[in-house]
Amino acid sequence: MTKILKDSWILSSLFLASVVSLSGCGNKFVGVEYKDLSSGAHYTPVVVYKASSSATAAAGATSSEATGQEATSAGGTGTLRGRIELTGNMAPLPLLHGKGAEVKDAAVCAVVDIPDQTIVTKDGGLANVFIYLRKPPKVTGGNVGEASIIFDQKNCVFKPHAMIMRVGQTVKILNSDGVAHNTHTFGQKNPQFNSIVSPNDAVGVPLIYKKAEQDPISVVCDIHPWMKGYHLPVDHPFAAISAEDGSFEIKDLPAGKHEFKVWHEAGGLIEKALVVTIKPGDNDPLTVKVSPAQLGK
Amino acid sequence: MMFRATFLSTLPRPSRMGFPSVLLCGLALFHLGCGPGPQAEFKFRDSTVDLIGDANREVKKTLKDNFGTPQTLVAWERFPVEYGGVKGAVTSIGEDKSLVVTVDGDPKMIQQKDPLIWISGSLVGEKNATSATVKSFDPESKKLVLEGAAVAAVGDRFAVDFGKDLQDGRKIYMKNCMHCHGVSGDGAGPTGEFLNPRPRDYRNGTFKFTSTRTGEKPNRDDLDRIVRYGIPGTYMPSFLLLGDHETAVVVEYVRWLSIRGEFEKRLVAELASDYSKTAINDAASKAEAAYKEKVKNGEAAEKAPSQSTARQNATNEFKKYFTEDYPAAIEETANLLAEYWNRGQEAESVVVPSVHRVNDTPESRERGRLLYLSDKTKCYTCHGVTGRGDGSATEDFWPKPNSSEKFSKRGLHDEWGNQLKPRNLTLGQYRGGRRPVDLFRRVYAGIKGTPMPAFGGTALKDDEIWDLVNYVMSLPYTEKQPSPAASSHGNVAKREEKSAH
Repeated sequence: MTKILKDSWILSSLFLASVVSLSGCGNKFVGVEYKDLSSGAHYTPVVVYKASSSATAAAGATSSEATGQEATSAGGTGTLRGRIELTGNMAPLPLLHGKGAEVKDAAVCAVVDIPDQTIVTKDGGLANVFIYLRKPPKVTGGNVGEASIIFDQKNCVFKPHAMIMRVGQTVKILNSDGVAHNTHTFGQKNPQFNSIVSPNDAVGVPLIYKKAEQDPISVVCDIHPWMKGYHLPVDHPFAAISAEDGSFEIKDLPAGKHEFKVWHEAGGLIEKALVVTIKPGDNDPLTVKVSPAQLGK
Repeated sequence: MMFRATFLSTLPRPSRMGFPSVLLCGLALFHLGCGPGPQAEFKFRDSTVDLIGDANREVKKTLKDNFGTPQTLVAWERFPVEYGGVKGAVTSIGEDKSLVVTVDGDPKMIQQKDPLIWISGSLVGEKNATSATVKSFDPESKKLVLEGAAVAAVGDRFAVDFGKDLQDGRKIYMKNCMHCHGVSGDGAGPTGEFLNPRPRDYRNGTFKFTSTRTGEKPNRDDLDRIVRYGIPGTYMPSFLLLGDHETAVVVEYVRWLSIRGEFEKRLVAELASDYSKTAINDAASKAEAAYKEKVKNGEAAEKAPSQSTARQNATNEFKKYFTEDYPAAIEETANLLAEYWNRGQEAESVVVPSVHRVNDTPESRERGRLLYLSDKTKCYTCHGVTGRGDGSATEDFWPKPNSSEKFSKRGLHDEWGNQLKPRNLTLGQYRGGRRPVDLFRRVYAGIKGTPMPAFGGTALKDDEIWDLVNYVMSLPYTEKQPSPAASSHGNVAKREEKSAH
C-alpha cells in the first residue's frame, strides 16, 4: 500500500509539471498579440506593390539591344561545313531488340531489328549531333523554314531520331504503324506535349513549338518504353544535325564571329561555346573531335 | 488497481531528487512549447543551390526582389493574380486638397482608415502601404479625403487596400495548406513526406486535373473545384467549409506561389548548363577523360583545366552574362509566365465537348469497350485489360526524360519523378472529378505532368470519347469484365470480337 502511495507521488508531480507547462503557455499568450509571432497562420504579412514594368526590366531591354551577335548580314554570308569525328574505336551498340523479339506489339515493333540509336557512327563520323548558335543572332537571315515538317514513327522508332524545327513551324506527327503511339515531349520553355497518334495516321497531329529551347529536349512514347527521340526548336536557321557519316552544313551564316554549341544525347554539351569566324562564301571545313569518354563510354 | 501498481512499479523509484527533476522537465517543456517558431521562409530549389557563388546569389536576390519573403510578399502586377484592393485615378483636386476620383471596382469597398498607395505619378515610391490613409470617402460623389498625405496630381493612379487578398490568402494557406504543400508550395511540408500520393509541388506550374486543353495552365475554376471538393483517393480533403472569399483568396495565393516557383525553375534552367556546379564538374571530368585518352593514344593534347579553374572561368563568364543577358532572361521568364497564365484563363482554353453526351446505352458502352481494348487507343497497356490499372506499362522500366538514364523503379512516373500507378477504373473513384464531363476532359486533354496523353481533337472524335466515358463509368458496376486472360500484347479487341462470333 505504501508503495502505491509512493508511486502516486510520481504521478502527482508529473501532473504538476504539466500544469506548470500549460499555465506557462497560457500566461505567455495573455496580452500578446498574434502578430508578434513571426511565422505561421496568425502572422499578417506586408504586401509590397510592384509595377508591371520594373526598373530591372527597362535596364534589360537596353542592355540586350546593345549586345547579341556581332555579325550583320551587310558583311555577306558564308556556309559552314564540317564533320563530327569520333576518335578511337568503339564497338557498335547492341540492338535494342532483334527481329521477332518478344516485346510489346511485337507484330509491329519487332518485324525488323531495332538498333540502339544513342551512338550512331559510320566511317569514324558521329551522327545525331546538334550544332547550333549559342545565342540567337540579332540579324536573322536565310530561309524561314518550310510550313510544315514530318515527324514519323515506323516500327516503333521515331523518324528522324533527332530533329530541328523552327519556332512556329508545324511538325506533323505521323504514325506509319498499326498501333497507337503517344508522342510526349519534355520541353523546358514549351509546355509538355503529350498526344496519342492513331494507327496509320497519315494526316498527322500538329505540334507547334512557340518558344526556342536552349538545348535539345527528349521525346518519348509512353506506350513503347524504348522509343526515344530529340527535338530542338530554334528561332533562327543556323542549326544542323550531323548526318550518319558525321557531316553537317549550315548555310547563310552572317559573316563574323559566332559561338556554337555542340550537343549529343549521350554526351550532353560537348562544346558550350565553340568560336568560329565565318567569312563570306565557303569556309574551311570544321572538324569537331569527340572521344568515347565524352560520350560516357 | 493491481494492474496500475504493477505498471508503476516498473518505473524507477522516486529519489530525493525526483521532484526537482520533474519540475525541471516541466520548465523545459514550457520553453519548448511556447516561444515563437522559426521564421517561415521560401525554400530554394536544389538546382538554385547548385549554382556557383555569384549566380546563386543573384538568382536568390532576383526572387526576393520580385516575390519577397513569407513576411513581406511582393505583388508583381505583371502576373495575372488578383492581389486584392480597389484601384482608381484622380480626376480633380479641390481647394481643400480633397480629391475627386474614379474607381475601377466597387466604390463601396473604400472605407475609412483604409491604407492607400500611389501607383503612378510623382508620389510613387512612398515606401510602404501605410503612406496614406483614407480619412473619408463618399461613394456617391467619389470625394476622397486623405489623412496627411502629400498632394497628388490629376491623373495619378492609386490603390486602396492593395494586397488584401494576397495577405488573406497567405493566412488561409499557412493555416490549412502549408502542412502538406509547404511554405514555398513545394509539396514538402512537414506532413508531405509521409503521404502517397505526394502533395502537389506547385513550383513546376503543372496541375493535373484541369478543364483546360493540353499544355494549358489551369483556370481559377479548376483550382477552386479542387479546394472545395478535394481529390478523392488522395490526402487532399474537401475545404467546402471555407467561405467563398477564403476559397477565392487561397486560389490566388496558390497561383502566386506556383508562378514564383516556376519563375525560379525557368530562370535557373537558363543558367544551369553554364553556371551550375554539377555542369561545370561534369564538363571538367569529361574533358579530363578525353585528355587522358588522347595521351594514351600518343596524340598531342592540351591539358584540361581543373575543376577549380573551370569554376573560376565560369565565375568570370557570369560577370559578363550578368550585365549583358541576365536582365533579359528575367524579362523573358516573366513574360512567358504571364502569357501562359493569362491564356489558361481564356474561355477558348477550356475543353468543351462539341456534342452532348452520347446516351449511356449498352451499345455505347460496347463501342467504348472495343475502343478501350483497341490498338487505336491502347488504354489497356496502362489501365489493364480489366481496368484495374495493372497494364504491362506498370512492369516496364521507363526512360528518364532529358537524361540518358532510366528510372530505377518499374512502372510509369510523373513529371515530379514520383512513381505513378495508372488509375484503377473499377473503383469508381475519379481524382479529377466524377462528372461525365470531367472524365471527358481527362481523355480529351490528357493529364498534365503524367504519361496520360490527349486523345481529343485528332485521334478520337468527341462521340467516341463519350463512348469511352460511358464504358469507363460502367466498369465499377459491371460484373462481367473483359477477359483478364487475354494477353496485353497485340490487339485484344480484335481477338475479343472474333471469339464473340
